[in-house]
Amino acid sequence: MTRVWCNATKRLAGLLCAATVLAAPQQARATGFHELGQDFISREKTEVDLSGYLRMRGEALRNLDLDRGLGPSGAPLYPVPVSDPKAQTLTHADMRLRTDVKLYAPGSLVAVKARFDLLDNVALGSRPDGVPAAVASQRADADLLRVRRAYGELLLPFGLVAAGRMGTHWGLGMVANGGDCLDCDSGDASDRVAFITPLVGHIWALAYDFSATGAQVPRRGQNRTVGLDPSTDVRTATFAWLRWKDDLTRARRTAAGKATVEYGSYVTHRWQDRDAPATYLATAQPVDPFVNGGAGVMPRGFKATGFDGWLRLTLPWARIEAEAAFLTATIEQASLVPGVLLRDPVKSRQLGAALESDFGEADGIFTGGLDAGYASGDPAPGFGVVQRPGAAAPRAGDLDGPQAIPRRDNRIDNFRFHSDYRIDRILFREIVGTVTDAMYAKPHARLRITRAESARLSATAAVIGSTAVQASSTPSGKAPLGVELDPSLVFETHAFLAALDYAVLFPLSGLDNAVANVGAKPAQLVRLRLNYLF
Amino acid sequence: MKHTLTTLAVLALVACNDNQTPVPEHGAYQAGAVEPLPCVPNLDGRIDARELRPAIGITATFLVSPSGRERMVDLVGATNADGQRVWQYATDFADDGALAVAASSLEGKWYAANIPAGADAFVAPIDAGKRTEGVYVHREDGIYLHGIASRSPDGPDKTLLPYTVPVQIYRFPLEPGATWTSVGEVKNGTFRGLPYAGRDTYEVKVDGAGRLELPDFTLTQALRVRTKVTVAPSAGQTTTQRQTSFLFECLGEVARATSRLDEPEENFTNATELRRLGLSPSP
Repeated sequence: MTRVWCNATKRLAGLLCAATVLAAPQQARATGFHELGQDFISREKTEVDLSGYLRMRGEALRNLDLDRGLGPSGAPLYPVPVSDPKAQTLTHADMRLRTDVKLYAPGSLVAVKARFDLLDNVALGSRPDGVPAAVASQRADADLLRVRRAYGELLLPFGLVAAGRMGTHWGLGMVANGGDCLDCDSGDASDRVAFITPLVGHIWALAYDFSATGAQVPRRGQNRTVGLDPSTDVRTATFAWLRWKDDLTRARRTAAGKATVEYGSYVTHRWQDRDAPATYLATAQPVDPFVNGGAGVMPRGFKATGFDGWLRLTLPWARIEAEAAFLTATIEQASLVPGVLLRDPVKSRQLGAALESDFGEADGIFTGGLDAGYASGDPAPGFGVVQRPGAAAPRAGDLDGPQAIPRRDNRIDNFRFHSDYRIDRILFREIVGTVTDAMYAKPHARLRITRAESARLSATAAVIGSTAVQASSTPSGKAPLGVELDPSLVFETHAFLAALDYAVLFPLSGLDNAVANVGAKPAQLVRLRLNYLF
Repeated sequence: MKHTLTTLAVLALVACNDNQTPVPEHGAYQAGAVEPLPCVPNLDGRIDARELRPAIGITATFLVSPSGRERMVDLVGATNADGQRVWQYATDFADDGALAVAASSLEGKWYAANIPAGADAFVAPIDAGKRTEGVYVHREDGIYLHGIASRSPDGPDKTLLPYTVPVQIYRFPLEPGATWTSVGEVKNGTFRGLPYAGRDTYEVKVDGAGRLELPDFTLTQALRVRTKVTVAPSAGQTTTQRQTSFLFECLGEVARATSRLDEPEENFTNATELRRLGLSPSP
C-alpha cells in the first residue's frame, strides 16, 4: 500500500512534505513531534481514514521462577501455578483490536484523530458468561473499550498546533514510547498542547502537558468540574528540536549511496508544588483532603528535569541509532501522610543510553548488528521497577521494591527503560519488568529465507548478555544476570504478520538464591503472534 | 515497692482483618488491588477512636535512651513565629537504642486466663526491655488497660497484676482540655514473685497541641498528654511517677518522657527514659 502526502501550503519553509511509501504492512504510527501534521493534503470534503490491527498472542512460559526458591519477602521471582508450586509451565493467550481513526475537515488545515483499543490485552476466555464448564459466550463488559488518544491538529502558516490526548514518542522509545509496535503493551499518552514549526531545516517543538490535575468538584448546574487546588497539579513543559527525514527521503538517499544523518534533543521539566495523597491513594475510609482548612494538602516541592539526545545514521549498508537520557529530580517533601513531614528531600539522578545497529542492506538477504544499553542503578536492594507508594522496604535478596527508604536512603538513581522498549523476551521483559540497573550487549542477525511478491519469510536470532550495574540490587548480591537466546521465525505480508518466538534464558550468579544456596535454572518461552493489519 | 509507670505503646494503624482477596467464582484470576491505607490523619485537632486503633503485628521503631541514663527534656516547648507551640526532640543521640515494638494478640500468652480481656484484647510491651507486658482493649470511648504481666511466667520476676476494673488510659476523643481520672485495683496479684495488692490511680489530661520535631520527621499537630500514676500498694510506700506522651493521629504515641519517681514537677526536665518514634529499623 502506498500513500503520498504533501503539504500544499508552500509558505511553511521546509515543511513536512513527505511521500511515505509503505511496502511493509501498515502499522499504527507513533506520535513523535516529527509525525504531527504529516498527512495534511487538500480535501474537498470530510474524509475518514481507518487503520489498525487485530493482535492475537499465545505463549507458554516454562520455569520463569528459575527454580531458585523464594526471596526473603516470601515471593518467587515469577508467579508459579497456584495449585502446584512445583509445576513448571504457565500458559497465556490474549488479544487486542487497535483502531486509529483520522477525520480530515474539508480544506487542508484541520484534522481530528483518535485511537481506540478494544479487548485490550484481554486474556482469551477470561470473561466467561456463566459457569465456566458450561460457557457458551464471553461477556462484553463496558471496560473492554479504551480510548487511548483523542486530539486535534490545526495547520497554520507558521506552524502546527496540536491539542488533546496524544501519543508521546521520542527517538528509540527508551524514555518516551508511544506503544505503537505490534507487540507493545502500554504506550505513553499525554494531555498536551503543542506547537511545532520547521525552521532552518529542523523541527522545533514546544509542548505543555497537563500531567496530573488534582481533585475536581462538579460545577453547579453544569456538566463540568473545576479543580479545587491548582497548586496540587502536575505540569510538564518540553522543548525539542530535531533534524528528521521521512522514510521515503531516507530510502531515496540510500539508493543514491548517500548517508543520512538525523538527530535531535529535548529538555523537559516537570513540577508540582503541593499534593493531596488521599486523592490517589486507596484509603480504608473516604477521606476529604480539603476539610479542616485543607489539612490533607501537603507541601511536595517536586521538580524534575530531563535531557535526551538522539542520533540516527543511515548508510546504504547500515543503520546506527542511539539515544541517551539524563534525568534529575528532587522531591522536597516525600511524605504521603498529612501532618508528617520528612526531614530530608528525596533526590534522583539517572542515566540511560541505548544503541541499535544493523549492517547489511535493509531489504537484503542477511543483516546483522550489535545493540547495547545501559541503565544506571541504585544500591538499594531490588531492581526498583515497581515503586508503589507505601510499599515495604525491600530486603537484600528481593527482586524488586522501592529504592528510597527514608531516612537512611533518600535517593532513587535507577534509570528505567520504558517497558515497551524491549531488548529480550524473558529476563527483562518478564522477570525483572524492564531494563533497569543493568547493562547489556545484544548481537543479532536476520536471514531472509524466502520472498514472494507480497510476502516474506525471515528468521532472526539474538543473544543478550546482561549484568547488573549495582550488584546489591540482584537477588544474590552478584552482578552477572544471564545470557538469553532469542530466535524467531517471521512471516509477513502487507496485511498480516505471524511470528513464532522462542527464548531460553541461562541465568548467571546474580539470580541465584544465596541464602538457600540454590542456583537459578534455565527458563524458556514460546510465543506465537498473529497480527491482522488494516 | 515500685513498678514502672504504665505505658502505652499503641501502634495505631487500623487493625485490618487478614487480607482475604476474594477469588471470583467464575472467570480468570484477578490480581489483588493495592492494600488501602488504613488511617489517614485529617488534622482536625483531635484524635478519635478510629485514629488510634492497634495494628496487630505491625512493628514500630522507637529511639530509646539508654537504661540508667537520664535525658534533659523540654516539656513546655516554645512558640514559633506562627504562634504554634513547638517541642524540640530532634536531637539524634548516638547512644539511643532502636527498639522495635509490636502489638500482639492475647491468645497464647501464659496469663491470658488470668487477665480475661476478651477476643479484641491486644498486648504491648510496657518497658523497653520487653520484660513486662500490658493487656489492652480498644473501644469506641477509649483504650483500657486490663492488667500487667511479665512476659515469662518463670523466674524470680514473675508478675501478674490484673485490674479488677479496667483502667481507662485514653478517653476519646483526645483533644486539648480533656481530663479524667481512672483507678485500677489489684487483688491477689503477684509482683516480682511476691504477693501483691494495691490501687493505681491514673490522672490524665490532654493539655497541649503543637508541632513536634523528632529526629526522623516532624509532626505538625501532636497532642501532649500528661499522665500521673500513683501506685499505692496495700503494704508499702506509695509512689508516683509522671509520663508525658505526645500522640498523633493514626500513629499513636510518637514520643514519651518518663520522670523520676515521686517527681513533683509537671514540667520535669530530667527524664529517666526518652523514647521517640523513628524510621530506622531496629538492629
